[in-house]
Parts: sequence; structure tokens; C-alpha cells
Amino acid sequence: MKNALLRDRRLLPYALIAPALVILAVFYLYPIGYNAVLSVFSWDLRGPMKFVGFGNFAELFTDPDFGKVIQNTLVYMGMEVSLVMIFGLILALFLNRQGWLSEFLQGVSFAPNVIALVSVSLIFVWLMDDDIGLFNQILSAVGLEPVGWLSDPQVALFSLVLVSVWKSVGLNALIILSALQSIPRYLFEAADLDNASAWTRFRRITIPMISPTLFFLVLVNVIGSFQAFDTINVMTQGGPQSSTNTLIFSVYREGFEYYRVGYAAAIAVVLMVLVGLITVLYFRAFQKRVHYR
Amino acid sequence: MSQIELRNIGKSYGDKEIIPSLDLTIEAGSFSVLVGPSGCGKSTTLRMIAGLEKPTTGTISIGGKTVDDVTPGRRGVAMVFQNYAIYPTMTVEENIEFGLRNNKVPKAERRELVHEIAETVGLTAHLRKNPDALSGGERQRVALARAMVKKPAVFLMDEPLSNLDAKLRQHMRIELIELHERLGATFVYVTHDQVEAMSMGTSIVLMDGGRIQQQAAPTELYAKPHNVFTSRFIGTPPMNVLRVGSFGADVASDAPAGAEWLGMRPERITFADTSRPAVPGETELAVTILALENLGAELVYRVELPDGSRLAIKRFDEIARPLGHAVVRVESADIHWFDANEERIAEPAIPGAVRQVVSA
Repeated sequence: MKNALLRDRRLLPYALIAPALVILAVFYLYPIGYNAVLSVFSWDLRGPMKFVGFGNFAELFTDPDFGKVIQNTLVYMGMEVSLVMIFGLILALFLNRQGWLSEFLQGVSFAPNVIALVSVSLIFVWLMDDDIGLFNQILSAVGLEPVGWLSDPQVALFSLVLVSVWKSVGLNALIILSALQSIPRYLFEAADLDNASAWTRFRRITIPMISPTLFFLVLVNVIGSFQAFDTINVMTQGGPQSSTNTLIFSVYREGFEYYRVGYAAAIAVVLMVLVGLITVLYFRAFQKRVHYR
Repeated sequence: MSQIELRNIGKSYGDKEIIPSLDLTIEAGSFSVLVGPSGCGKSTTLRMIAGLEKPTTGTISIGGKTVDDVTPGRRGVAMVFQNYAIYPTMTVEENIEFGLRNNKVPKAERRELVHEIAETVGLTAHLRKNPDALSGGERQRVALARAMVKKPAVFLMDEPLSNLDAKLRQHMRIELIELHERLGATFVYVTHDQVEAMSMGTSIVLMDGGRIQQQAAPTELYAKPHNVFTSRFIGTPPMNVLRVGSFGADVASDAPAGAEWLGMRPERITFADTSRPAVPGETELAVTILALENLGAELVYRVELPDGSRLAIKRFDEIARPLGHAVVRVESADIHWFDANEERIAEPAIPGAVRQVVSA
């Protein structure tokens, strides 16, 4: 039996993408829309929802701590993304050499990626403990002052970055490595005949040739950095003195610890706008400079 | 102008020996073609001259200077790669300019040189384009321009025409010959195509199994192949090489001492003309025509001899003969002799025989 929908040429394409659209709508579009609706209500999950207009946003932007939260989020993003990219690239360049050491390290550098982030966080809580942690024991062994890895408001955010970089640098390096290995060797040979120095080869051939991969990884890491949650929740709970409180952690805390669902939804809206804005700016700034084959 | 000398060059990859020991002199200003079947070591030899591969043994000098420890960029050579190796992330102009920039040529001079070369090879309209936007022929020109702009004493070319279609290849062959004339630089050209080698080279280096089989001018290579390999590599179709006894007792009795093989060019064999009897120095043999290729200007017959061996015969401007029985005729002077080691035996003096000059 032939369905009328399938016989209609104009409707057929929509019928074919309908399953994907349904999933997109149910799991992405509807929650985003519902979140936006929640952001203009006051609700504690149980009682009645009370419409407050932009009251949540007004409260948000007059909260002196909220500026700090946005700052933490952006600083975390900046540090995390640049460290992952820089060390990922350096590691990839090293792994790209021939030899048993780089082959061995290829396997090793991927290892942190298969450990659950919660476990990683627990291990680092222990390593970064002020008194019994391995890090401070090493520091005092070589005669340096101990560092309040997770207790010093000046350091804690950086410590979280460190854990995240440790975990993801290997995967990033492997992706960059595969891009490096796809550069045809004859380009470097031609550059050798053109008397290019090692730095010129790197700057004019290697980097442009892997630019699509770098562009993609930066974007993925930026978005990933906004989602950093496990480390914060396990290691610092946003402290000390809110120094590691980020947007996503505020959403969680306001919504699921204080049951201020509308307020949390408003933060989530801010987060979404921020991610969207950064993504658009990023595309505007760099897409033209990326060489796609 | 630079003469290139390879002395006692050997190249192995691990246990695998590609080139045992090679001695080769490439004359300054020559258009030397390294030709041979794939795996013969011709590309490896070229890459060693360029400095892209290090010889396992031996020494290379360019223009009288040893270059064993000189990087590719400082050898005074430019190379055109088979796949052109154009930098995809740079515009045409940046591609051509790259070598000059690395050699610290001042900007004004760079611009002038690039535009001059672009004019010469017909790329002026494309300078600002990305290489992806170019056709195969245009990419080829970018590769050439990139080599030419450095004004090198030596051009190394690794099968530069093999990615072009037949018509463009033909055209580029002539352009390269003209370019060589105009620049007066030393050209070293690698190809597996003997027609390309014959038509372009002033000197041909025929290689097989990492050894030079023969180095000679095209005419010489064609007229006096040093061995069976050379005789079978050059010519379309290549020389017929048969056991000495295959072409009848008369020819066999002419064979010089030690001859095991005889060779005859397909175009030197004629069909016996009934109106004229064979003269002394000519031998006739009854054969069977098995097949015929009509190439327009020429006809190529495949014939079978009484002992079952096969022969190719090439004739011009004739009406196609029917398949089946025929009588062929060959002049003693046109027979090449090879010994049991497949090496050429110097032709015996044949009194009174008039040898025609064989041209390529």
C-alpha cells in the first residue's frame, strides 16, 4: 500500500528527515525553549510557578558575584583552550617523529582519556591536598613553598585547568597528529628545495595544512570548557571564595541545590547566549584563514 | 652551467639494495634523460642529486663542488615534481615567490622576477588565484615557474608530464625542449617513457636494476644498443630479439663468433618484393602474418617464424597485406648481434654493404 505522503514529491524530503527532526525537537529544541520559558518564572520545582518577567535577569545582573562567575568562566576557557592547544601541538609534533619513544608515548598520552573524569578528579584532590598531597611533598622536598592548590583562591581555578588539560591533551595531540601525518611529504621536499628553514616550513606549510583541524579543535575545546562540571563539583564545589564558580556550576547549584529553577534557567540562557556569541565571533574571525582541501 | 658527477653511488633501504654502484657524468648544459622501467633506480638517482635522499655510499658533485653535505636548498638545483608539489595554502604568486623569499631576495626584485616568469609561462592572469582553481596544465606551469624563477644551474624533473593528457604532454615536450635551448641550463629528466626520452634528451641514461645499461645520444642508443635490454627498451615496437637460429640457416651462418642472439628493428624488415630478387647481403624467410595494427601512418604486423618465434614488422605507406603466408627480407647490415651474456658484439665488417643511417 502506497502512502500519500510518500507519493507527494514535495513532502517526501520532509518525511525522510522526520525521524531526525523529532529527536532534535524532543531532546534539543524543546528543552531550550522550555528553559527560556522557565527563565521568566520563579519556581522551586514543587510549588506553583510565578511569572516574574525579567526579574531573574535583573537579579542576576545586580548580583555582585555574577560578574565574578562570568569572569571565572572566561578565564577558565582562555587558559584551558590555549594550554590544551599549545601542549597538544607540541606533543603531536613530538609524536610525529619516528622512533620507539614516540610510539610508546602515543599510547601513553591517550590513556588519561579513557579514565572517567570523576575518578581523575578524585585522584587529583588527593594529589593536590595541602598537607599530604604528592605535589606539595615534592615541592617541599626540593625546598619550595607549598602551594594551596585547591585552597588558595588565586590558584584553585588554575588547578582545575591543569586537571582538564592533563586529561584532554592526549586526545587533542592524537587528532593533531593524524592531521600532521596527512600532510603530503612532497610538500616538505619542495620546501627543502626552496631553501625553507625549519621555522618557515612550520609556519608556511605545517600550520596552514593542519589549520582545519586546529580550527575545529579550538571550537570543540571552547564549548567543552563551558561544560566543565565534574572537576568543579568533585574538587572545589565552586570555592574557595567562589573563585572556581562558573556559569554551568551556578546553574547546577541554583537549580538543584537551592531549587531556584527560574533563576538557574536565566543563568543557562546567559550561558547559551555567551557560547553562541563566542562561536559566531570565532567563525567570523578565523574561518577565512582556514585552508580547506 | 653545471656538470653533475656521481661517483661510486650506492643506495640501500635497510637490506634492500636499490643501486649497487653508479658512476655517471651529466654534461653541463645537456638535456639528460634518466629512463628505465619502474624500480630501476632512476627516481632515486634524481632525488639523490636533489639532496632529498642520502646516498649510502659515494659522492656527488655539482659544478665541480662536492654537495654531499649541502642541503637541497643550497645545491643550486630546482626540481619539478611528478605531482607538481604546489603549496595548496599559497596563491600562485606566493608559490612562485617562496624560494626567492627564503633566499632573502628583496621584495622589489622578487616582484619583478615573479612577474617576468609568470609572463613567460603564461600565468599572469592567475597569479592571485589559489592553486585549486587551476587546471592540470596550469598547475604544471606553476611548478615550472617555481623552478625557473630561482634561475638554477640545474633543473631536476621527475616525470613532470605524466599527469597530463596525451595532447598536452606532446605540447609540453616541445616547450621543455625550447626552454632548455633558451636557458642553457643542465636538465636532468626522469621518465619511464622511452618515447619521451628519445624525443627530448640530448643524452639518454638507460637504467635497469640500479645499473646504467647505456648512456648515449638518442641516435646512438637506437642504432647501437649495448645489450639486449637496451635494444628491447627503445623503439615502438621495440627491436625483435631472437635466437640466432630462428631466422634461417643463412643468417645463422653469418653470425659472428659467440653470437647467441640476433636483433632487428621492426622497421628494417621488408616484405619480399617479387619484382626484385634478393641481392647478396639480403636474406628471405617465409613467415605467417598473425595480426595487423593499423596506426594510420604505419602498419605493424605480428608474424610467426617457422620455428614458432614472433616478430614485429613496421611498414609505412603501404596497403595492408592480408593475414597468412608472406615472405620477409632483411639486410645483413641491419642485424644486431648479442652474445650469451646479452651484450652487443661489434658488427663484423661487411664488404660492400651500404649501411643506411638510422634516425630516431
